[in-house]
Amino acid sequence: MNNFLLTYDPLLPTVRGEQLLQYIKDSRSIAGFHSPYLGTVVLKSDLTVHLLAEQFRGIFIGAPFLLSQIYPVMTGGSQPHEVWAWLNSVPSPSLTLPAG
Amino acid sequence: MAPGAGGQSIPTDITSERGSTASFGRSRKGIAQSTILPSANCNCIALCWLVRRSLTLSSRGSELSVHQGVEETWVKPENTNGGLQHWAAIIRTISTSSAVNPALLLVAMCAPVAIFSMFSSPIIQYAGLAIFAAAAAVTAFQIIWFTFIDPPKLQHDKHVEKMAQLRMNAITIRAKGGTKEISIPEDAPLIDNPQRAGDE
Repeated sequence: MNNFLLTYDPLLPTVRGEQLLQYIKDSRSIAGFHSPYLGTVVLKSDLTVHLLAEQFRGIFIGAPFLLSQIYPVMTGGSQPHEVWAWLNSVPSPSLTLPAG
Repeated sequence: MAPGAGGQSIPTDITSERGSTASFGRSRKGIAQSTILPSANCNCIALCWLVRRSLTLSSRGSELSVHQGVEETWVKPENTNGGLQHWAAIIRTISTSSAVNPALLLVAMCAPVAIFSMFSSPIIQYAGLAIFAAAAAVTAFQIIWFTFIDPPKLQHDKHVEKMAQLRMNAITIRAKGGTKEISIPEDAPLIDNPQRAGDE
């Protein structure tokens, strides 16, 4: 299970947050999600970042968005305990950090 | 209550946790912009949106840091559009509290036109009345439509804002036969990732 961070501009009139969250909720390829604030969604999915981004291109028609894979052990910030527990609930894939 | 990932019990019933008096402390002003508004009010909505957007961008621009080479300077916000922001807030509130309000605004704008046209030539009188009648017809249509066909839109922004707020304070997990939600208390303390990798 991979963790992803999806960000978009919630002020764009073409992007409707409710529709996006409903799509994410209905998508069988997404195992869970949390939207801590507008324009940001944390996702869990077995898909790769490219496959998942391809799915979202159908939702963000012409609107910019950014989808990046995140690794719990490499993630920091200030969030409630429940969010960290959920984010860390799957074993992180082994990281190979670049040398140097 | 449902077991959380760390073995602790995490409440899952959002409604019972918050009840009907849930406060929207984390609400954002952009929520209403994601609402679906009727196309009949495109002009009015576009006007309101442009006012809001321009004021938002202008206020943002004054607060953003300006990169000049390696130095970073902060531009002091200018308080020159306080009055405009006040009116923008009013427009934002009344234009999004109900899907019918933009049409009501249109009628309110057309009414003086129709009244003043009464003191002019008959052609202008007819034109003023026609404009007012068109706006009134649109409003009447919307009231009928949203009353009988699409009732949630009458207070759509509140509905959407409440749903969005509930989702912001919840983690949705796919489970057998649907989804379940792990609610996050609004007053939950914010902590750093307890399992983050070391800095070395």
